[in-house]
Amino acid sequence: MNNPSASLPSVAAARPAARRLSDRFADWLPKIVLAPTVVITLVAVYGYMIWTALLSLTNSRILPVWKFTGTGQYAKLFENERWGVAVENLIIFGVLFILVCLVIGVLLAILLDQKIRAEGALRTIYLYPMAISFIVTGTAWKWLLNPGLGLEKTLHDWGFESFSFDWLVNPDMVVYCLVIAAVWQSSGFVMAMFLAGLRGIDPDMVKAAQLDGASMPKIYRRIVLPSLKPVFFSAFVILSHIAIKSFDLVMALTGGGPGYASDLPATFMYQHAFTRGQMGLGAASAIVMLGGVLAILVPYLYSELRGKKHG
Amino acid sequence: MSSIEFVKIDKVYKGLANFHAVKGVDLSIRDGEFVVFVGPSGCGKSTLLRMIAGLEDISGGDLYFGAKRVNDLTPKERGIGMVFQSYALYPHMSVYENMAFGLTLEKAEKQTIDQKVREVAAILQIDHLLERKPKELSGGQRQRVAIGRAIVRQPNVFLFDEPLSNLDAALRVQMRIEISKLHQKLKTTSIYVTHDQVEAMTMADKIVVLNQGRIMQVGTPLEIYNTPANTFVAGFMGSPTMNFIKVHADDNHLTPFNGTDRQVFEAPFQHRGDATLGIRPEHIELTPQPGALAINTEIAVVEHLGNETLLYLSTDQCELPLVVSVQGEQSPEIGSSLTVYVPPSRCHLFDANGDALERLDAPKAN
Amino acid sequence: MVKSQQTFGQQLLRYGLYAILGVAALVYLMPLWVMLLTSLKDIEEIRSGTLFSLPGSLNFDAWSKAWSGACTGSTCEGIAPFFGNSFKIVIPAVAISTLIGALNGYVLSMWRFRGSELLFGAMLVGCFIPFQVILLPMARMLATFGLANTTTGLVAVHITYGIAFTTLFFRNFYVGLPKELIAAARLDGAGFFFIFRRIVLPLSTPIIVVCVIWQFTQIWNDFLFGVVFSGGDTQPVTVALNNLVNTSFGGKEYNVDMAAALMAALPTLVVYVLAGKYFVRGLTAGAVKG
Repeated sequence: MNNPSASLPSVAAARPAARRLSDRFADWLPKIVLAPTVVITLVAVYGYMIWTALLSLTNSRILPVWKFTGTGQYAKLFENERWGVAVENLIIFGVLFILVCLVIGVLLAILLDQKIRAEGALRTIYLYPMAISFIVTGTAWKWLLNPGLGLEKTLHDWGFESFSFDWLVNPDMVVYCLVIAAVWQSSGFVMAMFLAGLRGIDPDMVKAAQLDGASMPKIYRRIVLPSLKPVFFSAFVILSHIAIKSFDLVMALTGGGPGYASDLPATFMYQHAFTRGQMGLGAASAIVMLGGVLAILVPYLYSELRGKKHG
Repeated sequence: MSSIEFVKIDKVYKGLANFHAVKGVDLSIRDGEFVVFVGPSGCGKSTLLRMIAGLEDISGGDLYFGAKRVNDLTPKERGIGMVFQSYALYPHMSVYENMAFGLTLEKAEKQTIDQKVREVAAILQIDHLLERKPKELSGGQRQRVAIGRAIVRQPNVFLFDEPLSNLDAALRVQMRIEISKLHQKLKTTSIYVTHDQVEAMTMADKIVVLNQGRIMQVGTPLEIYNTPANTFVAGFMGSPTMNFIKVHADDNHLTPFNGTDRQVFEAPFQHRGDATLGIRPEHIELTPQPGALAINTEIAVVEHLGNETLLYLSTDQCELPLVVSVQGEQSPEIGSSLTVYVPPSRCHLFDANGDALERLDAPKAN
Repeated sequence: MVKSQQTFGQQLLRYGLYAILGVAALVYLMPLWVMLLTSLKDIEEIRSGTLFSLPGSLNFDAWSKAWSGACTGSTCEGIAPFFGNSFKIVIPAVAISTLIGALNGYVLSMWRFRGSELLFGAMLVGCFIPFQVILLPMARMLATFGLANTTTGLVAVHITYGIAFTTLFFRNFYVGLPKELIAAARLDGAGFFFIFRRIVLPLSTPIIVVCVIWQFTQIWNDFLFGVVFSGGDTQPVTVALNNLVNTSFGGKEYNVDMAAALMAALPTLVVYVLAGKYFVRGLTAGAVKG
């Protein structure tokens, strides 16, 4: 706003000028309110990201040493066998976890959508693991999968003498234990997302397909599921996000073991940065993780924003 | 109460591409006048209203209430009462609290507040609803509360932002009359934004027709109807919309462009070159008139509205079907041919820019 | 669906449907049930019976030991003190992050200014980043301010990385409120904070519930920040539980482990059962958008 007359020195203008100062303050108030969050975000998200990125270019061990040594830590990281195992585990774990969660989630959602009598109760049961900490989940499944006393012994006692289930201590199979526990925890959530999606579908569309003579399975396959594509998309992004960040579950269920057979990048980073005095390497692994997340998120956000603009 | 003066008011929304929403608006509103801003959506009428209220900054120009420049005053300091399209009643407050809210903020005495709220509630016949929450009210009742909330602070200016568009047709007519009656009683300067031309025609002392951020015409309802200033106003006001026929003018001789029969007819205008002839559907005659332009047509569609019948006639004289409004019930056969007559006395003529040409037989002063 | 005489086949299908859903429910409930059974048995019963065999008598020894006697790393005072720590962290962190989120959301929906949408987008990144990327600098920062290994430090960390979510919740909720409400209040002479307190906040109850529940579950269940930024006697219950389970002197006491795990899960489970509707809404809102 430009008001040249207000700057004239006169008694009459003094009052409006004072009031206009308070007006200006009122104009700034929203920005002032938002400022702390902006500062916090700039420092604790972007600043720290840069801090870690810079640290990954140094040879820091127990304490940060600000002497840049180039990309040596990354070279070391990709040669590190333990990192290789962690990445391989993440791929196996991530793919299986996402696939199984999607299949179970979609199936349960479709089955629950058939005007089931106890729907509310069933939904509550399928979803409750989501309210629990991954540490509790890990503790519970560690006990269930215990080779000596868990499900194996139970089945032996029930007469299946030859049943053998030692995945938790088998380096080749331990990653599947992570999948089982993680699916138990998260599949109900996928179900909830798809159920919400199904409820959002225009019932007239289904009626129209019925009038066209399509059978129910066909209606689901050809009409309902394709229209849930955005839900698939969101679920995929969220699940992959959970997978990449998975840390608690590994710590509680396997501790990364046996040996480092069930390490994931998140545990690798924690071990090296905080317990093994390999700060530079830990920082490099964190930056690689960030890259992985961005590789999934950026296309997602891009399509979301674009969809909003054109939709 | 207050007169309002707009001097070269501008509104630009800054962004990647600046959007010039209001362009150089000059307008005087007399104290106590009921002015209606009308125009298609996006014409800037609501932006203008919000600038008066102080809800939008004014990008350029000066706005005066009386002799006082109000550009830099806060909404509250301008003394505005506003009624919104969505009513904007505070959902968690009772009707009484809604109406008292502004007075409470002014730190008025409880007794004064109570007295004013009850007085206004009585005028609007909502005194029995004072303890209810907005969600327990019907659309019409909410509308009254919204008006009551605006009245209770005795504002200098009343602003109405499409207040009736959420009501059903019958209620809309009723509220329209009530708002007019209320204005006659309170005589507060009022500005009313609508896209409904019936509301504009029936309620306004003065209509301001806006398009693309500019004023197209200012005038009384009848001036707007009888002497539209340009093709935009001519086409926007009036239902069904005015018929336009491209003509070539040679002084007072007009020749329609299209059509096989190049008949020339005389109309009271003085112009040379291309022009557009306008004729309202209700002014086209079915019987031969002396000096009228005769147009041969074929009946394409007939719409029966009960009190009138609309004939959509295809002709080679203009691209759009020619619309004719006929009193009463008529049932001509579709596809049959019909000759209609455009009387020169009812014609409008617009130049190539779309601006109206003055009638030579027009009385000099209205 | 058209109401019609159901054929035998359709009825069979219906039973099959219920059977599948019922079995699935049992599978989901099984771990909780086994935890409960195990926590009520003594070690001998655990060794001799199966996972599903019922305890001979209701025996709460494991529960009392888990609460006040079990060893969690260096101390042997059970998880009770850590349970307290978790509340000491959760309550201020939830309250403050919710309040900041509400104010931010209010600004970002009702008082937008040039560039505010960009700031919002920049903030949202905080919802997505893998926290590994901020652990090291955050640890340094907390040490610098003398907040390392304190509950105050953890509260600060949870607020810092929680406000992106809380802002998202409130902003998306407030965008749905009619803007004219704010315009009307401004004409009535109300200012920024007055409108917030008297108009916006009274209308925010549902989103406050969603946000509080979301933040409560997130922060209560957090392990990563807890294990990195807390030490010794300031650990939250999740870290203590992990220590309890993974450090054992002598024989493993599975019943104590399970009792401790159930206790750690109890607060969020109670919230879930009491306010499941809001919990799901938070999940889908936080998830679909973020």
